[in-house]
Amino acid sequence: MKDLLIIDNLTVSVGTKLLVNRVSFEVGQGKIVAIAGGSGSGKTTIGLSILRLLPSALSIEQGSIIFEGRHLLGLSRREMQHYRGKHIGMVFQEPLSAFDPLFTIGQQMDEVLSVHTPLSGPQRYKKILEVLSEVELPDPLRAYRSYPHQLSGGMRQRAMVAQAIVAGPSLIIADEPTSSLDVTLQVKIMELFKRLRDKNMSILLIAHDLGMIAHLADEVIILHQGELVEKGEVGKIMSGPKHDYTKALIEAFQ
Amino acid sequence: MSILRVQGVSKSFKDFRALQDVSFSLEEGDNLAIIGESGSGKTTLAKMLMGLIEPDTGSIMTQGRLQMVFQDPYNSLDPLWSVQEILKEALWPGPVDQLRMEKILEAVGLSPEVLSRFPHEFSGGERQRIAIARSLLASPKVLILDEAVSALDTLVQKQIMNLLRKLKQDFNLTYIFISHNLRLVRQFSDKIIVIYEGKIVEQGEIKAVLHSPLHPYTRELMQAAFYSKMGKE
Amino acid sequence: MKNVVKHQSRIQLAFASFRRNRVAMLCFWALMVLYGMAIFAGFICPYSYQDENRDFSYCPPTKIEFYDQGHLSQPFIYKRSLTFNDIHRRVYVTDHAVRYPLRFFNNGRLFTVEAPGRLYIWGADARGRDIFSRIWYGARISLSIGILGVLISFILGLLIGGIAGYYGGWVDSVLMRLCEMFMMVPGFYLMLALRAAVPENFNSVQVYASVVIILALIGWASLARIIRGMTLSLRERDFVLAAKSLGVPDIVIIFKHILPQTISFSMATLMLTVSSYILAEAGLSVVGLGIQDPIPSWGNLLSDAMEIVPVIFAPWILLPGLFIFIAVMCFNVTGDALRDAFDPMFKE
Repeated sequence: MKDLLIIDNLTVSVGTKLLVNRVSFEVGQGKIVAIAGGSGSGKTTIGLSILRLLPSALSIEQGSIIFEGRHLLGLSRREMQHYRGKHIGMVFQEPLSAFDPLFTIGQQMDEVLSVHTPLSGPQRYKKILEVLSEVELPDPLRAYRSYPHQLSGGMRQRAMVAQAIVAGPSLIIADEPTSSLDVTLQVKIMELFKRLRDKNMSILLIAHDLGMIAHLADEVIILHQGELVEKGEVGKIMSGPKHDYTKALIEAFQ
Repeated sequence: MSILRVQGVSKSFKDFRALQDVSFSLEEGDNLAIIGESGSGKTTLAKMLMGLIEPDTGSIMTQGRLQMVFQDPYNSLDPLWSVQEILKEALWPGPVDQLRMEKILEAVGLSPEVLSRFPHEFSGGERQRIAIARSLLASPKVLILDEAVSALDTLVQKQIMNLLRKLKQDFNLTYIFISHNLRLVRQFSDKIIVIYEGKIVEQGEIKAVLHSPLHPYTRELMQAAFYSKMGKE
Repeated sequence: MKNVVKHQSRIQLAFASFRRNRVAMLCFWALMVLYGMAIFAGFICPYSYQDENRDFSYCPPTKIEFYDQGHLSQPFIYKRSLTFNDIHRRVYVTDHAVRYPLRFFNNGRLFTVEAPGRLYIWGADARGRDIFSRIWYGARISLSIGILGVLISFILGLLIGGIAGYYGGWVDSVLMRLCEMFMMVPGFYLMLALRAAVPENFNSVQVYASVVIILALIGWASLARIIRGMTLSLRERDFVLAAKSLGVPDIVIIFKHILPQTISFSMATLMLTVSSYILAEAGLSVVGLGIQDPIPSWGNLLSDAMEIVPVIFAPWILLPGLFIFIAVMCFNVTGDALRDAFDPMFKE
């Protein structure tokens, strides 16, 4: 099966400093691929590069990003907007910045659907409520009507996942999606990601928690200070790490 | 003689009951973990132990000084102050003991040359070390660690946890380790208190509590912790 | 060889960033020039601000000659005299026969001419007073009033805002209602009302002091609110809690932790407030309620320019307006640049 996403020799810099140094990997369809690394490893930068959401001080020096056969880096901004939300969804680390505080969750998700799909008003409403209950929000109707600040941190995070998947993208980029959640909620979100993966959605998971990665991902890429250190199937890497950094990461869990 | 005794403490904010009838005691040399979700009341409890908030009912009796290390390394040091001034504040109002400051810096794994530098020049882990040094300079008997490693990377977390173990011995400290991460707590503490919706639902030696948990919330926490342990359960 | 890196505090880094902003530095130096000229007005200006000569009413700017019949020579000016043409309009006739050489460092002034010659670099006003001199003497008033007013506003704002924000509760409510009372009245009218309360027989120094206080009173409230807002958020930060748990008393926390953070941001607001005070003083003086003649301020110099006839025939009397514009612009640009330079500090 052809790979959904191919990253080839991606290099990103800020000024003279290299944040990402010639990183290459692939994400197949229906797979959860994790990018693991500490702060400064470049993992968030890679996630932002795919959707071209990098701050202006950063520049992509070289490399290519191929999604469903198309070279994303060559697209214009308007063409990229078409991809965001419809084909690639993104879940950010900080739920407060993902939502506009002036609109309800329902309104914002409705906007996403009306831009990307031909669904009618009632159809969109139904779809949104479906997705909101899929992310295990206890009261989807209340969540629909609420403003971001009216929801707890955990609910906001789930709503953000909902907004990312509502238009039916084939790839989700999730950047530390559970970092501001308690462990019990983390488990729920992980179960949700597994269900999405079983429905043939691919997930690029950016995290530093190897435990969660071990339990959730199919493949893992280890990054250290912008360089790819090791990559492969999760089981193989965990049982037989080759690189010192990988060994240190695994050992931190014992 | 307990070093800390909390009896029947309750606290409400407007119509939200943060803590209800919380009682426990702490002996010298203990390593107590307080586990709970955010919103469970554990930070309110920590602030009350520090005397920053008054309980509505109940009493808190302490023998000896308590100090606290906060969760966010980017917020707990005044960004306009040098490390020297930050540490000096811990000695307030007493005299500035340069030698002692340098010794404590060494104990937390930092060189004395950090004194002339400013917080924004340090990483999260290094800032927590500075925060720990500041607490130690105040010569506390009890150190409250309020999610002190939660904002750090896993590798750095391990380093800081190791440091804390060593400091406990060197400085004869009693710890209250507040967290929502059972995996960390299991390797670190001897006793545990589980707080759920403002009430204590479990209390006792860690091994005993985790062997036979009483409350469904504790069981949920354990499941999540097992999840994190590389799926090897 | 070990690289010695000087560790800079956030404040030093912010100033370094400010210095890299070329436009802002240009404005800053322009302000330094203006203030320098104001301070040394007594040396730079050929005449005192009161020196009048009705024979030279509305005299146009004097041309300084450097060539004498084709040869470079010591600078001089020709004599000029007032006549009236056939429709009774003022005309100044130049007499090439009489010259007055420029004298340098004469009588404690940089350059003058011997009487009865008159040197009007930027022209004369209705009474024959030198506009150039009056502008720089006027700068002393206009530029200093803004700064002094801001200093007082700032101290008031810091104290009231800091206390209100830190203690909250009824203290905060009372102080903020007080602020709102001051902010309710439109600035210019409040200023007029306060000015009306100043006794008639005040001499010029007292009037000056009154204007300074009046300006401070119209401006402190918005500053206090800004500082109160910042204090409210700062007092929740962990390093404040840490200080409290170390036993540091509240007053010390306010002055050593909270206010320093507000000051760096306030600096930008202060610069902008100075420019509004300069305009306020000009506004007061133009309508005759500020500094009184003969003491010049840019505002009362402009009140001479309020009639169309003199403006058409002696446009140089509008020059004070240009300087007000330059000063206000420079303060605004510097203030904005300062705010940008200190911004990252607050985006932690």
